[in-house]
Amino acid sequence: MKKKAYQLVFRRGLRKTKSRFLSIFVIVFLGASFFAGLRNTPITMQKSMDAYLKQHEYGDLNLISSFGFTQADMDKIGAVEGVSKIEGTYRTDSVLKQEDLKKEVNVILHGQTQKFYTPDIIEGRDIENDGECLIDARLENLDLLDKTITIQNDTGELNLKVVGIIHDSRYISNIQRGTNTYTNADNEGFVIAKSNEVKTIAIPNELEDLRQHENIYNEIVVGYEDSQTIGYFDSQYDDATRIVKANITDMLQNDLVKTKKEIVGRYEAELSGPLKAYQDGLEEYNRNKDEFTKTVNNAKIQLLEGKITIIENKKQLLDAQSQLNEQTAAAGEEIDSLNQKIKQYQEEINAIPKVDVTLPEEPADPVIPPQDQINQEANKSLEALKDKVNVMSEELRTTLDGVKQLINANVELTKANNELEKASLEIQKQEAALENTEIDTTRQLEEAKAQLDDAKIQIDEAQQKIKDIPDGVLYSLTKNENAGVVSYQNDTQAMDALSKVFPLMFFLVAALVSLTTMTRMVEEQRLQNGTLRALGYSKKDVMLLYIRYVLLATFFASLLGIAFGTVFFTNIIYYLYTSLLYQVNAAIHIHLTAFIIPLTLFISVIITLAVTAYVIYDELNSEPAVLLRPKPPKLGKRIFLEKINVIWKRLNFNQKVTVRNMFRYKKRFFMSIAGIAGCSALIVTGFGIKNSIKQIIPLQFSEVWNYDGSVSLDDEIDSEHLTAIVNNVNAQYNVAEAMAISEKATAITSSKHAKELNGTFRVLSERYNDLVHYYDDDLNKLPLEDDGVIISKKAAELLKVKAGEEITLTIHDQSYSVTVSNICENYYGHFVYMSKTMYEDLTKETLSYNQILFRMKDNNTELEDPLAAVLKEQEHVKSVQFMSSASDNFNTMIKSIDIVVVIIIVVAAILAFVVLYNLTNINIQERMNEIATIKVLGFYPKEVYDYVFRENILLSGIGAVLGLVFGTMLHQFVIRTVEIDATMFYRSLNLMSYVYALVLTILFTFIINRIMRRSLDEIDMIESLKSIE
Amino acid sequence: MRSFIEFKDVKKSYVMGEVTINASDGVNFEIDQGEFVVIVGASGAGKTTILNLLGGMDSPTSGTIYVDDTNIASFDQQQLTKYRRDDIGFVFQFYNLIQNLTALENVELASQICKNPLDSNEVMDRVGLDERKANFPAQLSGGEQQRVAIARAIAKNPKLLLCDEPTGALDYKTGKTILKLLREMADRYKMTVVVITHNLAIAPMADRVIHLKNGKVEDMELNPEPTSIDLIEW
Repeated sequence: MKKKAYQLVFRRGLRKTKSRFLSIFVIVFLGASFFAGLRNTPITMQKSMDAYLKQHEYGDLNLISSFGFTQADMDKIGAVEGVSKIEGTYRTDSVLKQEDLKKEVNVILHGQTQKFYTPDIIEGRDIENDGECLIDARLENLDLLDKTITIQNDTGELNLKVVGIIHDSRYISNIQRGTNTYTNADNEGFVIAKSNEVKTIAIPNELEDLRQHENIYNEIVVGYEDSQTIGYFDSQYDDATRIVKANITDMLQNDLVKTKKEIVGRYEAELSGPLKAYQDGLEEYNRNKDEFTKTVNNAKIQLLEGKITIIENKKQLLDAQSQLNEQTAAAGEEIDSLNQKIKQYQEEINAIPKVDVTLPEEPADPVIPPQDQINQEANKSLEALKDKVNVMSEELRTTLDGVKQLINANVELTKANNELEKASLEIQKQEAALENTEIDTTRQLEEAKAQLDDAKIQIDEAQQKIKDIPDGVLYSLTKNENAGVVSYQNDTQAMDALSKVFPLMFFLVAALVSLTTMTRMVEEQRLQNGTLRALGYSKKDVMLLYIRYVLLATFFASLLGIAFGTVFFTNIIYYLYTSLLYQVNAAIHIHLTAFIIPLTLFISVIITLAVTAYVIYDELNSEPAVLLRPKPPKLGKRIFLEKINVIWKRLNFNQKVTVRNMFRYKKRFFMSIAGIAGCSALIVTGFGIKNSIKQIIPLQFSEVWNYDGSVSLDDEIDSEHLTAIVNNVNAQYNVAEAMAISEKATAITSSKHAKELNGTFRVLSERYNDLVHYYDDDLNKLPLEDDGVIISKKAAELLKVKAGEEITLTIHDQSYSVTVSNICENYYGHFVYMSKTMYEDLTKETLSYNQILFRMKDNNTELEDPLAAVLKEQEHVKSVQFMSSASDNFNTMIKSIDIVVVIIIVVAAILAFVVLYNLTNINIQERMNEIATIKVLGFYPKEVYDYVFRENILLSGIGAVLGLVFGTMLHQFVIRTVEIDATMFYRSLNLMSYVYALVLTILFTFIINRIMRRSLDEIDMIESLKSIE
Repeated sequence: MRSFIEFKDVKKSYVMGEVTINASDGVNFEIDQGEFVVIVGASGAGKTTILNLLGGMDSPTSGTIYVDDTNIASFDQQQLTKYRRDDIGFVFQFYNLIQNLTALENVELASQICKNPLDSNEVMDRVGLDERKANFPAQLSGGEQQRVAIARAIAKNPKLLLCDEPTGALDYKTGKTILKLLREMADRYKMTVVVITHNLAIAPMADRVIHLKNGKVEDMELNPEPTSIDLIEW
């Protein structure tokens, strides 16, 4: 048999050195299990959650349109290549109310889907009847099972009975439930009810009106064919599904334009009738008005003419009257004179022999001719008189005629006057009538005009409404917009980054341990090796003994480690993540990446082999004869320190021994320090991270943001109302101060970072105030000028910009290029601060404030609700939010990092133990003779311990301190890796982390020393002294 | 009156699995103070066992061991350590010096822990190593190393100086020098010196010779007139 005895050397050697074999085995096992376990964890996490999502029919694409979708839309989408299933449903943000609850709960209400999102029922049952609903497990503590709740939003309300508590694959995270657009706060959970019931409050009245008579959904869920075979967390998912998504969204975008046109057209058509009617009405009115005016004017003119005529006539009459009067007067006078004359005549007549002729005073009928008795004188006189009387009679007659005429004329005149009066009256009557008619008709016309005006207003409104019909907006949400999925993905990526660094430490330790173990073994077997060589076995033969030894240990340890680690570490980490942050029942699907196996094997084997080969080769380089001689003990040498007499003098004996010993075995010296430094570094990192994270809360929520709450206002509020509200807020009993700000979402890019950062843009009404601070690293206040903006540190880092450089902001869909004047400390979110002056210069728009920040005097959370209630009562106030809930959310989110911290500290402890234990062991073994000698000399046990362990403590101290330096660097690396995108952890290390590192490391050392005491006790003086030194 | 050292029916057995080895199988002897004693016997006779028991490095399975009127056989670990510390000086075959300490420091290592030490420097002078105090063992010859060992043992000012084959690793001439030194310790400094050897030739230099065979004292001789080592040849 070839080299049978040689084989025996190997096999028996194996059996005899079981503990050595085991120590290499164990450390490689640990290293491999840690490495394989951690490397596999991300993929396992991804595959497990992917399985959960697929199992529950997660939808690849959610389409939400402000116009809603019709069946026709759905059919079109369904026909796109790559779409395997499609379903229409509803969703709406609302509040949940229930009589036992103290306050309303913000929820999102989903319509039940048949093809997607199968519920994971943890209590109760699925929906079977109308009026039933399912509720988020996150709301479990509200104890709503079997109770009736009310879901309410702008559109209406629903009363539902809770029949089941579930998990939903859209909400894998414990925390993220999205933002509630109804209350402008965070959603606290979801509710699922029957689609047709959800529809009643999901479609706002305006939309219903807009799309009249069409049956619409406000959400479409789409499933791709490809997602059956590709994992949701695979990197190819986005590429593979890009085209389908683009096709769908492009199509829908076009449809939006078309739909809008349709809607506008429809409304315009509807409006066209009334519009025409109005226009016709207006025309008629105008016409009527004109006519009326004309008629009235004509009538008025006529009446006026009449009046004028009457006046003229009156004038004439008056003239005639006066004439008449004159004539009458004249006639009177005439008659008088005639009477006089008559009198005269009378007298004459009388004079005459009396003739009894009495002439009537009035001209009467022709005078009766006088009697014959009249004497001729009288006759002559009478004749004369007769002539005269005749003449007079004639005159009288004429006069009387005249008077008659006058009288007639008077009568006529009177008649005419009467007529005129009548006519005048008539005219007055007509005037009055005309006035009435005018008034009536004017009133009618006014009424008509008023109606027309109303109609015009309505029509204008209607036209404005048509103009105001917004363009359609399409939201297409993929898994990349699902907060839970995204944060899960980020967590797996962080784990991946960590898994590349930490296991290396273990492999380093494995290398350390194999180095020391094999060195020891080779030294011990020196004589055997020398003998073999002397016998004629080649160097290779001897080397092979050890190589095979190590290979055996390493190979199987690796395999076992891979198997164990993949199951153990993966399970633990997965369990931690799911139980703290992703409490859906996603069963673990352990996935072993084929590549990990050879990689792990390769690393562990290479490391230990390389180390062994190095050790052996060194030894075997000596001649056999040398090997056969005992190895000369390591020479005692004066160490460097001895030359510094000042110090050396002051050391006592024991200290001198310790120091000399430390430097005697340089390899071990460095190894111990390296191992301890690693341990200390890990502890620094662990506690440092924990602190970095914890610090954010007070820093962000007390230093950077010194406000307790914010009031969000309607978008278009004028400055009068604003001032009133600010004053009102300030006046509240519990409010210390308040300030108005303008806050908008913005997208930030820079020349060095094209991908947009989603940030918040703020203009404060008071540039320097006590509610929002811009600080630099040293907590100095930064100035805000009108020529530049202040941006938050993380944003600056991601965008790779420094003070003085440019960034691009998007405000109201417009891009602006601004200079960064300063970078401020900020730990949560990306912020850009600008002065009002700069804003108005830049955008040429007036700034309108849309929020009020306030600080409470007593920010006890119990006082929040009452304050909010009071503030919300005001007009224009949309919602009130408090920072306490933001910091709560944040706290919970940070738990995922706590997991990492725990792992790190455990690793540190293991590392310290392994290194110290191993090295101390070797230390003791190598110096067994020495130790036995001092025992013989009569050293008490305690003195023996001190003799050996004092070095340990000193090395520990040095290593621990060194570790602080290394730990500071490691801390920075981990912080940056583990930081969630929009957060910045407090980058500095606090003193306590260093203290913990030092204290714990030294503590571990003490514990090891304690444990190792037993080895020292076990050294048998007699046995040890028997061996050749 | 009891002798300075008295072994009475001392037995020491080792049980290794099924095998019981009786290293000492009922040993009886006495030694007076100030004597130079040589214990001889073939390899495996039990010489080292006696020395170990005497030196407080081990306890007998049965029997009594009186040293200066104290039965050290009944001592516990703590007492044995104290005994070793204060009353015993040990010299090994292979010197067992601490490599990392100078010659002087090796001696100081011992002197600093005992009650009543002698001055290390003086002791070094006494063994003739005044020139070598600052050297490390690696820089010393075999004989010099053994002398350091002796100095270390003596520095404790022990009641008993035990030497296990002190000349085993040394050449003839150097060995003689060492033995001479040891003899001087007994003669001049009144130490009780016990030397174990398998070299019968040096028996004549001792005041008492104890022969061991198979774990028992076969024979004990007293030499009223010990020979000077200079005159012994082998």
